[in-house]
Amino acid sequence: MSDIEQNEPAATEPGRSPFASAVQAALIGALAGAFVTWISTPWLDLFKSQPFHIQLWVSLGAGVLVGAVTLIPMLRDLIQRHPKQVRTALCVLAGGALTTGVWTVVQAVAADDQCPAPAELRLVTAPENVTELTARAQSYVRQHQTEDGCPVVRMTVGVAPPPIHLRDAFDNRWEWREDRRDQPYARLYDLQPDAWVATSAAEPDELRAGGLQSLGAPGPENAVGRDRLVLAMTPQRREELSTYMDNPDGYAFREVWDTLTKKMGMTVARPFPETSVAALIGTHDVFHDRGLPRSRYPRAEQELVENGLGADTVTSLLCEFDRLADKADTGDPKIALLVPGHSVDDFNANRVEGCEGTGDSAPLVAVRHHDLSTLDYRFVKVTWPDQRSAGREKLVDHFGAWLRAHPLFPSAPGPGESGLGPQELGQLKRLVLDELRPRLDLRLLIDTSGSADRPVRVQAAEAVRANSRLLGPRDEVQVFGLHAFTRNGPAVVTRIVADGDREQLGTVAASIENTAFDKWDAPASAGLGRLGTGDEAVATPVVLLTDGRLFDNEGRGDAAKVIARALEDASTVSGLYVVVFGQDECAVTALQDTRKPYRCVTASEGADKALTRAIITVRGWR
Amino acid sequence: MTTSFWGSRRERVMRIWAGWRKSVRRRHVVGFGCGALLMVLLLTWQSGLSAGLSQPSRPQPTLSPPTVPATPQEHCGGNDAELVVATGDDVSTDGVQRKMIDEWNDLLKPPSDPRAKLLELSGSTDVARAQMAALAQAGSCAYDILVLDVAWVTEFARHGYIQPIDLEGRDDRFLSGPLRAGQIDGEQYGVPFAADAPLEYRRRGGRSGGYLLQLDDNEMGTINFLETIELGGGKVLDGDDRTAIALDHERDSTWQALKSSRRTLSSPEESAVLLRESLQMDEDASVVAFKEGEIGGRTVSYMRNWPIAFHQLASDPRMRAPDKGLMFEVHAPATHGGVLGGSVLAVSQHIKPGKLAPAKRLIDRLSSPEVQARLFACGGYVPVLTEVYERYAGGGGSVCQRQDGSDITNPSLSELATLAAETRKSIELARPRPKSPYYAQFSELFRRCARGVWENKVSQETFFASVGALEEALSGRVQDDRPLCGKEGT
Repeated sequence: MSDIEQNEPAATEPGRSPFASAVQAALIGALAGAFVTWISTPWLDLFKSQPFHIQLWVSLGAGVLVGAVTLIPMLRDLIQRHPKQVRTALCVLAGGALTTGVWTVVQAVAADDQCPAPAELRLVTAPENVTELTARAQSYVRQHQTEDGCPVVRMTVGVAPPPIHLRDAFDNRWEWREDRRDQPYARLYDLQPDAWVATSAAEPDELRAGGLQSLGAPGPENAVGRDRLVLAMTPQRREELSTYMDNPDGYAFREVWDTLTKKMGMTVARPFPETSVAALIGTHDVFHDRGLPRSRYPRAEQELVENGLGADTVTSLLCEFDRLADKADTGDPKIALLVPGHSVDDFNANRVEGCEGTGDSAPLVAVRHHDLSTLDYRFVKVTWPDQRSAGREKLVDHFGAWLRAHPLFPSAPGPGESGLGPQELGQLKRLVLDELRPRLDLRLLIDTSGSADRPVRVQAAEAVRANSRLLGPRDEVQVFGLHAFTRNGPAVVTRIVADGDREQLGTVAASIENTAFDKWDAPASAGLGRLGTGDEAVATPVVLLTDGRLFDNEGRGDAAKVIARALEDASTVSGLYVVVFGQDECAVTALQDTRKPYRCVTASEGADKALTRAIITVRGWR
Repeated sequence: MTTSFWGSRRERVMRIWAGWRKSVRRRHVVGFGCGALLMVLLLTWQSGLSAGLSQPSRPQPTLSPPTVPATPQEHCGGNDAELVVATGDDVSTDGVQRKMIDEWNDLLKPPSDPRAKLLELSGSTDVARAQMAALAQAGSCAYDILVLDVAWVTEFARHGYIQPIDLEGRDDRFLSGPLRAGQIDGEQYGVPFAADAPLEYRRRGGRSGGYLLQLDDNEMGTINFLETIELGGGKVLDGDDRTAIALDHERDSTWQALKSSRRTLSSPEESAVLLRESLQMDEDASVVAFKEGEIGGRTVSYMRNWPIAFHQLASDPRMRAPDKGLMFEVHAPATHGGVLGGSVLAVSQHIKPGKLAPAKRLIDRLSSPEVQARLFACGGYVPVLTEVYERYAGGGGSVCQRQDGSDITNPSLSELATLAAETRKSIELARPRPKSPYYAQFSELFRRCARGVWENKVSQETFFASVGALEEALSGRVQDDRPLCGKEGT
């Protein structure tokens, strides 16, 4: 048999059709292919992750190895027949191999394992936008790396100061403007921004109109996202609304509002406009789109404050709503939230900062209405005189341009009415924050027992300093200490500050800080008794700052009943607002037997925020 | 003999060389050269190609990190009459750091020195870091002294935001761990200011309850997960500067330590159930829950926390028995594996020359035995000087006497002595975090993966597959579009 005959393919077996042989060959091929794929799969990723020259040499080596194993006789023959050519080819390969080796060593030696320092950029925005802006910033960082995977920038996203503090922050190099009586301490409003994503074009425009120089130039080219305010409610409430109106957007806003509040018995909740610009804009909608006469604004605003769940931001409003929905006995909350549309998505997707598991008990449905305002997000570059760096500023500009091409909230509905202008926003601020807020005679009752020294003393003083912007020119503050001289002894109320106005808050705070907290706990009810028998013509609210231990001193019986009775009997006290420091719950959450308002909150989110909420809430308690 | 040996060897080499020259033809040299040339062309072409095409989604970089501008001193900000000490916040809640600054200004500083001003940047260490780094990059002189978390010292030193500082041969007064935390590449960049190491808080009389950690999604979460693994017998980090990822060296014990539902106590024969509520806990929230003795309807008997929690607990009358004794105990961990925390005092690279000497004088004061003892006794800040510990061990030491004569809420001398002894033991057992300028990236990724495991969103395979990404993170590189251990988990 000749060599040629030996290499001929095997003939089809006798008795077997060519079709059957083909099928057999196909099956064996498929099985072999599957086996090879199964074997090699784990190695493919490893292979793909290697540099190109390694891939090349591995392929070449594998080929030579397979060839050497399967074609040994042929190779031997080849080497014997063409020794010179084979030797030359091996020399070529050796040259290539040596070059690869040198290349790899040079690359390894020259490579800098560590990345250079990325530029540190700081962004701030309203709390409800932090999640979305953070995601955008991360995406930008990933897209803008150097060739070896090093980031060009590192971005930190923080919360912008509330509207009432914004001007102070920009004017005062981001330091709180606080009266510290020459004490050498100061604090920042958290992260000082290189850029600010404002909720409305009117916000930076209003600041610029006031002469602020540090903000970048205005213009529509700075638009980086749009959204609309919505009324958010549970699916059950939305269904109930459908029984009155199929498509609420087809009705006047006034009719939708009346249906919700009168026919369905719901309340509309909104954060405080002092601390949320979305809420401030929403307040305009409530007044304007309901067609309310000017004379009804004070009552409408007071209702919004009372129904606002004590929340200062959209985020905290969503958290409070979720807590209510989680309570088994509350059932389906009869509350509609006036919030930006994207916040509903965040709530349902469990993306609300600081609140785990939102939407688990009750998701939210957005009810849109054409009369509700558009939120027109703007990218505002900020320059600080002592932080000028052309390189960093160029990066801020670049990120701004990128954000315009990748705007926030892309799934929000299309453009609606244009938002408020800077003049309208300024007028609205003056109306809501100055004119509609009733005069406040605030009585701060501070637990001056020894146990309150660490959790309360310094924090209460700082909170008072921080809230100067919340007091109007006619407001007054009195501060009292509450303690007992002996264990379980009679309550004593001492006057710490007689009468202070907003210009004297530094003195008020220093007086609190310098007071000795070294006595025993006294019951809050007894304190109300001492305060409540004054000769004030008008009853005023009391804000009690305590570490919460004084609730244990209410004597025998139910503390809630004892406090309710004392509150009812205190003729000059219009309501009691308790802020508990250093604990995560209030011992007495509600009072049953009194018509006077009572609220108890913890200061877990910060003493200054807790006092801000207290001041806004009690202002209407008369 | 030696000569003939060397001679014969040389002859042999020469013979081989002559034979090789004879056998090598010109075409072999040409072939070798061609192969080398071909490979050079191929590698050069491939190298250029990979920069542009290997990752189509990544655009050609048009940006580069800016260099720190050479801002003239007259335009770099800062007030010549103030020496600004930038810090996070005074966590003592008693404002004891402020008192130290007050005292310096009013009584101690030389008249020609500028007044010190304490500037609190943020309660978040991440925000404080970003703020300090941004100002340094912009060439600002607004901050003169930085109170730096030890985790950020490497970044600030290697990136040139702070300058070396001379301890003037008095290094031996500091505890070695905190001292080394301020040393980068053989130079001292930070003067130890406060140390931190984990302590086990144990409620007296209630041993049946669970153990509370702080696994919230922030830096404390990272620290607690590192400790959970390394105190539990696993391994995350290795090497002198702790920058080697050893997560997969002892896979079984690492996985077991992370997944374990129990925590071994400081007395190793005992253990307690880990509470899942820890996932939502930070330092303050866990102190509140420990005081209450319950969280979400479950009993809390143990808590991991820093030493500063001692003062928060001891000052609460509910944590004292009728005989005024404490209703809780503190213990150092039984083994290595705790994470060393704390802060150092560093001098900004951009400080104006005239403020350098005053800054050093203030740093000397803040790291003196007197101030360290008061910060510990009154504020709960952990001392960095051996002398302070030795005083307590010898029955001396300071207690916080208030000016009004009341001491009803302050820890007693014996309580402080116990705290000092356990804290020192814990510091000596603790290990630092990685000395990498990119620790922040590592921290975020490691925490995401470890939390994912606790939340049953990340598999064992994915967790150990994070080794490469963690190494990349420590060298400063960012992840691709779909981050490992992302929200959806794997």
